[in-house]
Amino acid sequence: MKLLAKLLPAIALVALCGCSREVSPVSALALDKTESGYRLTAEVVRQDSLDDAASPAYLTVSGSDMPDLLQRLSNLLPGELYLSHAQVLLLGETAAEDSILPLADYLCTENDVRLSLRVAVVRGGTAADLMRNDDEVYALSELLERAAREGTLPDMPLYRAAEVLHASGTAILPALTLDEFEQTAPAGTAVFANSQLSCFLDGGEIGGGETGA
Amino acid sequence: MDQITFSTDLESNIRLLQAIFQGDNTFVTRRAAGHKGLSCAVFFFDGMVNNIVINQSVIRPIVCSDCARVSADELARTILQINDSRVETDTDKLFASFLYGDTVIFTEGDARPVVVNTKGFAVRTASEPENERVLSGPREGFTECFMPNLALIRRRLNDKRLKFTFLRIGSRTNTVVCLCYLAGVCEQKLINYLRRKLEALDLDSVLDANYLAERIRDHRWAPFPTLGTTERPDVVAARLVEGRCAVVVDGSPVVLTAPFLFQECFQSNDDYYIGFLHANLSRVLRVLGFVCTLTFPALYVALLLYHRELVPARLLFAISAAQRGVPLPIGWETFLLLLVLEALKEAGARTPGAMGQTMSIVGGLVLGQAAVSARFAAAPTVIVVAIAGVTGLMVPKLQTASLWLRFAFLAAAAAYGLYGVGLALALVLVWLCRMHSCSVPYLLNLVPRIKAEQEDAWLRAPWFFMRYDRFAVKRNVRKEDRP
Repeated sequence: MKLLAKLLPAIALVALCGCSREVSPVSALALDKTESGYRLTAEVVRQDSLDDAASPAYLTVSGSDMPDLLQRLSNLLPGELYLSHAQVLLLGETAAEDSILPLADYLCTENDVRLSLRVAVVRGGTAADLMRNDDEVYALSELLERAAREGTLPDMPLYRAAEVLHASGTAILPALTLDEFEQTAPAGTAVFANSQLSCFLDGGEIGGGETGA
Repeated sequence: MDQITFSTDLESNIRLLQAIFQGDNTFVTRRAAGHKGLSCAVFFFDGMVNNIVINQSVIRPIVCSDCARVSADELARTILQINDSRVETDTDKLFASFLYGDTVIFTEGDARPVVVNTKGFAVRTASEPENERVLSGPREGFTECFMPNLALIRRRLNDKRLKFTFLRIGSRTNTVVCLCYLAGVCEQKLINYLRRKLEALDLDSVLDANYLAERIRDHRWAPFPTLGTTERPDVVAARLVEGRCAVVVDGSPVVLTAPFLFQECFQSNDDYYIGFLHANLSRVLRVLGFVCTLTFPALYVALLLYHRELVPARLLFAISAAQRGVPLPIGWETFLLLLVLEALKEAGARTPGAMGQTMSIVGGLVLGQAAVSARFAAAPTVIVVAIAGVTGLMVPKLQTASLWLRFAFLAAAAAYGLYGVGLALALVLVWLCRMHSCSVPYLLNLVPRIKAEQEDAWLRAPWFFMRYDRFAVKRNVRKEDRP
């Protein structure tokens, strides 16, 4: 009896904790500015069985700022909003024209979000459209990673972007666009001054050529 | 046994013994008389003796004797034609020998019985132990027969310092227990310590070595073995050479060795009979297998419950997809599958021969597949549990530890995630550090201290580097624990 009494808390501890919740993993986020605030589009990964391939599903919410957007997105999802495996944040041109420092700070302090999240700016068109262009999970992150490895786009994860923005207010982020074949393609770099999008530099200009935009 | 006094009258001795063994139909009384008037009574148990020996070496010499009356001494010395006969005046020893297949002979006019070694009961031949098979090396194993077991040890250690000290334990079974050691090699304190422990036992019966093992071992509640067990004479010989003691129990093919160190759990007989390169790879695999069987289910549960961010994305998606529709939380699902695995192992072990194999196939393949299809369990969980089960079999000496600690680690993982697993591992390590076997630290040799002690710890050094006169056990009895 005494042994049972001693074991009971341990059994209860194990029995009452560790219930797994279903998660809704997000692989990429796209932020656009609208007239009334911001619009966040999330690429949620769906895989119904082991035999299926992971496929993206898109959910869009509108709100005033990032915490509000994420809260609304969480309300829409069937499972727990899971940002740990999100690898790309796309910023629309208009959204990037606002100061991105508060956004970067918020994401850096958010527990779920990885500091290695890659941030890119969409040149022309909306971020949501560019994200929906590929129907494959992690296609964008693989594109950005490959381009960074080849040196065609800057390698600028979230933590580094936040760091340089804090230090000098100036940063360069990779830019993406939809080319004439409606394919996602690198589009040079987005230059930020005072934490706001200042201009774009084309691929050839990165080495010190003419200024674009 | 009550004090029994024999008389010089043969008939009253016969009546006395018949009264003692009344109701036992295997008890045989044979009167034998010589043609010159020698009168003797021969007592033995049917089935326990060698009839040919009794007929040719006991009955015939008495019947053919030219003497009219002899004393017990003369009977033993001059008439009986057998290598092992003695006059026994201690009734306890007399009955112990008699009940164990010896023959007792009384002669007219002498109250002292003669005991003759005529043991001849059926014994199993020495065959390779099922659970200690080797790829190459000796294939002999101990049997349930006591003396041949000792002979198997002596045959390997032709050393005059090899000692066999007999004790009798068990008031009902009166079992012979033998303490074996190499005098001068094994520390005297260790011999005394074990002898005291054995002599202090107050038991009714000793039917197997495990009856003693659970009583004399240190840390009785620990799942880690602190007393070695083996059915192989070569292993016992090796342990004796290393300065350990062995305890042989009559009626049991299992021999106990002490002290037993943690490193021995990962040693296999094959390690010493095959090349050191192969042996060391196997030993490393065994260590990894033990770590894997303890931690794999716990890590799986901890990662999926608390640390999903550590799981590669695509793997996480696949596992999440597999988990969809499974009614139980992942911790409970893993726990129940581990229980099912243990149930299958138990059923397989208890089911004879081919049926056991069928049981394993039905259990492992059909049941596993069906459970996944019916969404009782997720396929990744089945895989994790199967890996834990398979790796658990790699270290047979730690199966008890694997079984209990696996569940403990799982509980820690379900409650506290990876921190829980880390804490549980640390606690187990502290526990191991505090353990000792016959006053020798349990983790001896695993922590680098003296180079010579490392020769057969984590890895086995090649034979040409080994110095077998090192007797690490002898030097390392803790001061405060010295018996």
